[in-house]
Amino acid sequence: MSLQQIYRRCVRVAVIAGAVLLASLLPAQARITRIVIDAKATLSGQNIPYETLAGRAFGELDPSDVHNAIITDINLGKDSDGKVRYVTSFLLVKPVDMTQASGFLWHDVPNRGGRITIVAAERNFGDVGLSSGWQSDNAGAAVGGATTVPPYASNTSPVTTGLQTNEWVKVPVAKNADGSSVTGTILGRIVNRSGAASQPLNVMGNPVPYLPASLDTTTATLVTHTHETSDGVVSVGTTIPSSDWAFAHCGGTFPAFPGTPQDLDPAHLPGTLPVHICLKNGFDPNLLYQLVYQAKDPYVLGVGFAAFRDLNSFFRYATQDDFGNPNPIANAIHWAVIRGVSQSGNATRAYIHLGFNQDEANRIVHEGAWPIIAGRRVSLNSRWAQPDGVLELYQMGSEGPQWWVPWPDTVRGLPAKSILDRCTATSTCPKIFEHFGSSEVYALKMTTEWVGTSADTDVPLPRNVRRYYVGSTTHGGGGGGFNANITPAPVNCPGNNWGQGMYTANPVPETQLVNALRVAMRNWLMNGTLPPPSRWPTIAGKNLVDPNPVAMGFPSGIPGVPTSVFNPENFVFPVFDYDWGPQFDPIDATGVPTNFPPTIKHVINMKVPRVDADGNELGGVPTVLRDAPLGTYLGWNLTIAGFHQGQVCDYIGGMIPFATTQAERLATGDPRLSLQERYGNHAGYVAAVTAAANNAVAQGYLLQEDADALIAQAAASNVLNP
Amino acid sequence: MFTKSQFLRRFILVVTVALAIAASAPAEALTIGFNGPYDPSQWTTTILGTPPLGSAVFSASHTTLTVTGGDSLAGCIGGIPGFPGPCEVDVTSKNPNNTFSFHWDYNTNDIGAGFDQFGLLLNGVHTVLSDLGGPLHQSGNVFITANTQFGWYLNCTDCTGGAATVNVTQFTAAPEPASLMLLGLGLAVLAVLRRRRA
Repeated sequence: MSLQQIYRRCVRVAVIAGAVLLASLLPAQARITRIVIDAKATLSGQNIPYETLAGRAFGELDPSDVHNAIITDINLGKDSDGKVRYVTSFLLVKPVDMTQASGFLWHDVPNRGGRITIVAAERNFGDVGLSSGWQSDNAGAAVGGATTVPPYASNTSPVTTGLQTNEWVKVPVAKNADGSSVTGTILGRIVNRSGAASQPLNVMGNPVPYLPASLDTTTATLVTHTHETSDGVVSVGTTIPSSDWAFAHCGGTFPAFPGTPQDLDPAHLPGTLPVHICLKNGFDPNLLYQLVYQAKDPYVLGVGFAAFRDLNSFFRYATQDDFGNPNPIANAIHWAVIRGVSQSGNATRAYIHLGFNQDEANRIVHEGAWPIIAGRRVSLNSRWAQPDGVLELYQMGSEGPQWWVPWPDTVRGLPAKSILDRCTATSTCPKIFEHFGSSEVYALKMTTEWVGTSADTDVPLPRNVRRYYVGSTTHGGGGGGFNANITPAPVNCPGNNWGQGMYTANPVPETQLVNALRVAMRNWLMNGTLPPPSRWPTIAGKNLVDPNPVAMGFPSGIPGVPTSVFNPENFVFPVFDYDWGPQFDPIDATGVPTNFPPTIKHVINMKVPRVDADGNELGGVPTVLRDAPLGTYLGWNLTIAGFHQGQVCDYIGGMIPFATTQAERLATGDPRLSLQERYGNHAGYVAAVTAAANNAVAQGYLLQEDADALIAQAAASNVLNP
Repeated sequence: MFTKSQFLRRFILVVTVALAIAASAPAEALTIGFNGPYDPSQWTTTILGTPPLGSAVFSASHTTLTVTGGDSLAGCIGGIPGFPGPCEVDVTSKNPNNTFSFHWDYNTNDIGAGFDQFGLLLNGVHTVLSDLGGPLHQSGNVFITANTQFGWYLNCTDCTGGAATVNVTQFTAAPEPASLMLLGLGLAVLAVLRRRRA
């Protein structure tokens, strides 16, 4: 071999080695590697043929990729090849003939696993719907419910029987480097329970998803609370001796204390959830039980956000998967909107905040975002996260910036940050709608988003965000209608067995605004048509005030409204500045919380809308029922009985109807004008509805067809129409 | 029962006292519209920021002040959407120590009222009047007492996306002592009339 040959060989070897080295250093192209269509069905109810495709997508992530680095514990979820893998469910709703598609995709974020089919109005546009998993905590109160991962999740062939209809994501369980279980402290609570039977550890209506590390109760602490106020003052009762309780089922078909021990085998999850607690002396309904215990096997939950991102990116940009399975909507989508309601609206905000609206190829994933009735950020991307948690004591969700522009967090001592910081840096911010109702103000800790933690200045909105507030509404809006003969009936308070509310359900709807905004969002993205201007109560406009009846201008003397409800211990649920410990990032809400229960460092001041002489809220978008009222529409309710008696009933709003005649209202001392006094007769009421509807249409917050329907409803109603 | 001469003496006394009070009041009397000490020449218009954008114009009839905020495709250097920025039209009185009332009518062509903010310049403090989350067309009435500074500002924040215009009308300036004097005079006349009837 000549020297020249040796030289050439050396060069060749060096080039190959360099290429191999380079390939090993570059981030692998993480992606959806496989899609499986399990079920195909036709869908009726729209003007062109539609079909649904229910399936699963298999994906993989490179933990070293900067787009994934924010995921808590991602390095504890790697396979042997260094990749992190997941499987997610999805439902595509599409025109059978994709040439009839509009190019617009609604990517709906399921609320606690609930699968979403886009509505007929959207199908009539030719839009595509995509519902897919993000909440990866494998928790359901029933098999196939909530976010339960099915046994067939990893089957690479189509599954035709026993298909679940929820959305889920199968993500890795974090393990220590030696393969042992990760353990840590968590918290669960039981309230309004009585008797000898064991009780579940739930968060909202779903199980706390983490098994105890052991059945040894000496490593846990179970205390009782005799009282808790809305503003976070806890009256601690006693510590229940470890010998007097067990992680066990007891009562009913189970033996009495100490009962049947909780199954701790992870292989049996989620069927063995919820974890049950059995008390030797039974549960006292006057007490709240708070358990701090060692749990094991946290999920790498943040992978759920990556799965949501990558699935949309696949359907937007890919033509087929790694195995040649075609993308059924390839090259047909030009605009995508991420949309979530309540919990999933908070997930939408968290998703944007953590930078997931940029895919691994640096492309924008969703051009639009619509977090609905959600003013915070869901707790997902921290170890031991409980994304079902909403607002109750010691639940996450209000950590870090809740606002859309860089704004200092003065009370918590955090620098100026915003939800849009990451997407601004990468030019991947969506155009955003957010709309809210009154219950979010009172129970769902929303006004911190509007006025920051200092609660003294309106936080500006950027140009890519529109905010619409629907005053005097319950969470998600009521059922609508014009009914003057309402039969009083208590309503169930949402939450973890919270109780019942005294006032009948608030009917003020948000449906018509949603209809208008649906059109506006499409026009904004597809045509650049500016949507209606934002409308919400502000401090500057003197419609956002302190939560007391004087500042609010709440009329006194309305029958059934005790003054005690306005006391801080009963009224607005404030944001708490929790100390979750040194391993937790209080801005991004990532990392490992270690303080359970966390210390409350600050109780952050909240604001509420000012009200008119009827007690109905000012400062929101015009809505017909609020502007032609049949009563006082409250964003809050009053808990009738139980541990929370006298406090606001979580996030369900109530209604207190007007009297029909002056004599009736005077008999009860009601200061509000009767229906006859304010409208005269049925025609007068229809005229008021017509005026309100025309005003809302003129301002762009109501579609004409909805206005016509509302006026017709009012004309046919029983209001002053015996 | 007064005699006619007693009544006349007392009436003259009351009127004299009232006139003395009136004479002791500041020189400013009730001013209606942009007249007298509030003539357009008695206001200072300052256009802040780069480039200088916007204007302030008094109507020929001295009944209306029209403030137009900045708006250009290039926007305002340093301006941030929604945050009061360096570009602003200020109109301030040379006679601020008084009590004022006026009506304001705000209209913005921008996408939201928060992007063009209108308010009072009052004793060194910016006090916003327009509702940042309110409609694009807003109005209101103000009655307020100033001492070291009185005027209006219109801050265009980023100064793009459409200009805001504010019309200030029904302007009055009424010295507080004059108001008291008028009240006192009225009470005095009532007292006299009552005694006369008695």
